[in-house]
Amino acid sequence: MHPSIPFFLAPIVLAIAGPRLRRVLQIAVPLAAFFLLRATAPLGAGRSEIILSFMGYGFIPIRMDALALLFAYTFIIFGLLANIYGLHATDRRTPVASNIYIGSSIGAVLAGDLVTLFIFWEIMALSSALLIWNKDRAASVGAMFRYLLVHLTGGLFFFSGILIKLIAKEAMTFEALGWSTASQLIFIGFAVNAAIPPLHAWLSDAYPEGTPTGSLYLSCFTTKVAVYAFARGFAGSEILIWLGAFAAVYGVIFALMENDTRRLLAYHIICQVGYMLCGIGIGSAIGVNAGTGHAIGNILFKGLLFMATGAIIEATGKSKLSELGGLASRMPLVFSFYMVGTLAISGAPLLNGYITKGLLLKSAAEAHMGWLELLLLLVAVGTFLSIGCKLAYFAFFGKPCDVKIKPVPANSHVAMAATSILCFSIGIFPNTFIPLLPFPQHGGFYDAAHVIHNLQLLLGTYLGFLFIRQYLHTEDTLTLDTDWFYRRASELFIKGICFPIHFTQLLVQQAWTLSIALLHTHISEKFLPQRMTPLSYPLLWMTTAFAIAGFTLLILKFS
Amino acid sequence: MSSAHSKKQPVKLRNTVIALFVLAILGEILFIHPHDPHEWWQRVPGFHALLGLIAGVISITAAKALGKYILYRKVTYYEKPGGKV
Repeated sequence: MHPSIPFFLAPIVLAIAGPRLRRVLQIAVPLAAFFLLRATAPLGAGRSEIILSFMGYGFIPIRMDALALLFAYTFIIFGLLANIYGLHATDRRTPVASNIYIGSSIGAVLAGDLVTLFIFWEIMALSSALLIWNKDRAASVGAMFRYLLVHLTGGLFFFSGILIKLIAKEAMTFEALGWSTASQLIFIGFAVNAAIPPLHAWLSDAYPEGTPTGSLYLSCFTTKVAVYAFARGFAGSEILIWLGAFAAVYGVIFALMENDTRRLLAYHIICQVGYMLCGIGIGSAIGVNAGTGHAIGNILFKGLLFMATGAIIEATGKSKLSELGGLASRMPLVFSFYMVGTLAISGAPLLNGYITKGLLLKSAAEAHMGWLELLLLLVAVGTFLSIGCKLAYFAFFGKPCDVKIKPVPANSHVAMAATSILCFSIGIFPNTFIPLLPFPQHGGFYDAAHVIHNLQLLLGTYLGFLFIRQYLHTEDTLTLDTDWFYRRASELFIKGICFPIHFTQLLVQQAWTLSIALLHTHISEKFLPQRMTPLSYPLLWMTTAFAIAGFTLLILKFS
Repeated sequence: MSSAHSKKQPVKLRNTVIALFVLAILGEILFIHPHDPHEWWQRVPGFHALLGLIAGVISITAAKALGKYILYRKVTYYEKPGGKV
């Protein structure tokens, strides 16, 4: 039985269930899916697949191998953590949409053929769009429609690729896809979901708009499914290294500029996906291990950061750094969990980011790409600077904000604590996690040089921040990004097209009015009642009657 | 009293960080001997510390300048007259 089934069945009950049943289901559904998957394929099991034949094509709705299972298990575990985080929420839409979203994400990573993948891909787009809709933020509706617009366009590229393959009678199995026209179209479809700049603006536009729980789900699934798809279909494509490096730098620069807490983190998703794509683009066993391992790690620490910022937003009602400050003493637990996430994403020793970032640097070194290694170090500096220094300082220290703080629910604390424990356990015991990666991998992560280099990098960055901290101010501004092209430039474009039409219309209208007016003046001057003689009227009528008669005769003659 | 205390704290923090920073560089010089440096920057002791310090200051200054002179707009930039976004 497909492990997504509990996630697809639950919404039917969740839509009508009362709060207590809803809470029970939120815990029970991921557990049921976990045991279902475990019964079919334990983590680390060999490859197995189910093949169905339909209209002469062989479809593989379920294919389980190390790569797919690693993502499927992580999605289920993170789904459970996110459900626990949002147990106190009262709205029905989030649980309904999130269950379908998690189910379709698992379906997508287990899909063995392109058609199945595409179907789950589109269900993901539709269900995740519902999570953006947030009644507390008027801007969220617009963001949701823009999100849908971009994702359905990306889906069309993916679909065109599939159609070309179908027409050419190529196999539909989802393995390494090569670089044909069809594959290139599919690549664009994947790139939209992976938020590779310049196709990324949907992410930074939409993710900060959802409810705290809604955005938590969003931060995890869509981009990671795309990373999985790249690892499966395009591992070793050199273009991914370039795109990944560009995404990493782009994301980190925009994060440094950002004022909204969750938008800052959203830019870091783009940056971290760039890291993963670099590993996948290198394509060696260690590169793919690093890319996928970092995706799994990222789900945990980025989820933790979204949980902590979500807790701040729920407690204070504010999301902008310029409106926050001094929260460390008022929300000490949230601050601690936030710092765990920060240190993990920055690659501090004892946390999971250290392991996967270390693998990534190693894969770049083994591929003799010194420039990439240096670039990834630079991006790590920017990452710690924006999340660990800037966001942490302005939200938790700095000028204290004058807001009333609502208590953070216990279930949210439990979810944050559990995620922190997972981050630590992978960091401290990497040998429990490393064997789960798709390719065999040797250990040896804690050599003295690597540890001290990481500490130096973090200390140097923090020291630099301390020096320039007094010159930094948060400003309540909006940063232009590539969504400008479909939010503003498209409007100008439509105006540009409409202007000649409007102008011509206006010209014709004016000419018509003018000629009528002229005619009117001309006629009325001649036929002014006071100028009319007694004979004028009969003459006018007779002329008109003759004209009509002559015209009728002419028509009759020539018809 | 409290203001003097709050002013003292950042200085104390900064001194601690500077001390740790120097320690980390010294630790590398004294105890770490890279056996297989394949890039020039791996032979420079304390390179990572300086990279963090210099690249950090430059990147945040550059990002802020990019925002200030080119990319920052008012938060109402995309809003239509009716208040719709």
